[in-house]
Amino acid sequence: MADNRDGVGLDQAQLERLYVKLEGPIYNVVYRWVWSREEAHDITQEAFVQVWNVRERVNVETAPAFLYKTALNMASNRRRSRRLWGWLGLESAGDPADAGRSAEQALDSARAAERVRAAVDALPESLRRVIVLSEYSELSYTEIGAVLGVPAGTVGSRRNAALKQLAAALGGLEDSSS
Amino acid sequence: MKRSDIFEKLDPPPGGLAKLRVRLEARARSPWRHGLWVPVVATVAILVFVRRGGGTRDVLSAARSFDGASEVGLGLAPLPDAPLTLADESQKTAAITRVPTSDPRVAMYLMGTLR
Repeated sequence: MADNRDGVGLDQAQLERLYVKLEGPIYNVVYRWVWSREEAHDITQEAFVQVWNVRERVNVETAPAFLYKTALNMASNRRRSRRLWGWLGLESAGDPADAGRSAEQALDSARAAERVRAAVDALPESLRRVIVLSEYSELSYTEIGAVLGVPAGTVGSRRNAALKQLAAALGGLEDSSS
Repeated sequence: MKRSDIFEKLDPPPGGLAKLRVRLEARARSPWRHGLWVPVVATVAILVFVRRGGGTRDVLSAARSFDGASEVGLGLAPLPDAPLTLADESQKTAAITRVPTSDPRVAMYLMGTLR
């Protein structure tokens, strides 16, 4: 078990607490990269294993940012390798359609999901990373900046730019409360 | 479209923590983490070294040994300004076609020749 008397080093209980807290947000972030629930789940788990591998050097305070960074890099790599397989004609099919819904509902839902996916995918990677992290991660702009290696102000401006592009692609954005 | 539709929150599959524990335990039992990779990597490195020393010629040297090669190099090339075409004398025995790639920074050509 890792020694964490100096605040550095994770033990398994701490890692598991982080998993319970961050599994959902990281899964959602990664899903917007790979667009496959199965792969998103696998990458989320693998990110925790990777962090566990270097647990002696991880500070429990900064572990969430490190986990997001690890997961994002893994998702990005997986996406690139999927593109290569797609180019070779060996890309696997996407997620299966939702069970238990009428064909019409499933079709409407699939069309809406495809529009969202296309709009998010069309964002430049620098904007996509910011918007996905800011929507799902519960990290502050400063923490997102630490994950991405940019100042907090840049996070804010990229987020606004991403929202503008999404609004243009999807015919406007309404706040959920309105 | 509503923001909540765009940024819909999905639930991960159940049992994630139990699966993570299994992965961590499997990793703890793995012989690779106990240093077995050191002799394996060393053996592979020695085999590669021996094989290279056994006379396999360097790719660039082999390419330079062909007559008529005006330039031989290995590295990243700038994208061509126009589609590549064959010289007149090659057109009877060779064909060239651009292969589509998903990355606009990559240009790939497929060339076939008759000998």
